Amino acid sequence: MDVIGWLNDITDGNLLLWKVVLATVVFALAGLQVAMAARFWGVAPAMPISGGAAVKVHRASGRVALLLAVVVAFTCLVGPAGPTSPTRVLLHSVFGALAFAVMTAKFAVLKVVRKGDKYLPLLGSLLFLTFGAIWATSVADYVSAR
Amino acid sequence: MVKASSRVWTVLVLLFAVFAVAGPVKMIRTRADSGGATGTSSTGDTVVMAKIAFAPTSLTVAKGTQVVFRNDDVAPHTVTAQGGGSVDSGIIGPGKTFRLVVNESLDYFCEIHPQMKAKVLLTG
Repeated sequence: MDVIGWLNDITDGNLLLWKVVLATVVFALAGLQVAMAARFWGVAPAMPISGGAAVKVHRASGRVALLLAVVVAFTCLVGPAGPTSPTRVLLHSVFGALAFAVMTAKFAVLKVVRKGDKYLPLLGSLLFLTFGAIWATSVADYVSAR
Repeated sequence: MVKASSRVWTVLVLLFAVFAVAGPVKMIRTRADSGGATGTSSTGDTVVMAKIAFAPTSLTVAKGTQVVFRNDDVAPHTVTAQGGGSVDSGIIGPGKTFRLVVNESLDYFCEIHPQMKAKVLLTG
């Protein structure tokens, strides 16, 4: 089954543009995640939102970000993923794999093992930075090429 | 007793792990399939754009042949002459083609992905 062809059809040939938009949303939501976590971990108490509300925003935006990240990653894995050159493409693939490795670790700590909460800020920050690196090695290149 | 939500999260964590491994596995398989080759050559008259690369990277045709550049990629590409030549396809969207009658050798690249380079050579 030509999944990429089908996705291209339903996006009127603009699959890459949709990926660009979704990857940007994921990166923005990852930034929001870090900000909300900083609030409820007490690092940024001056932020104009209650700790309880920050938790709710963190969870809701995180689930949206996860869903979108899985969708974008799926379209990469069944489509163009594989080449190891040039360096930008290689780095994009490495950061993509790293993002899901960090997600695996974060949600294993948070939802499965339920131990090691002290590592969550580190894992969350690393995840945000990794999404930034993914964005920089794909969307930034896409935009700057125009 | 394990809660249903815990089971769901366990499945999701496994899914994330699969995604984390799938990329490197595909990179290794792609490299193995290509045998580590960095370029290919052909005497057909079609160039395919896929996986952010032209294939073949060296095409040999007779003068006056119409070469078809077909974009099978998810990304838009261009066929642009290197060194300021007159050939420029403009944006070739996914699923689109660009046709060019070749009367002289052509070194070309993709303006959007400058690392994509290939050439068309003339026989004789």
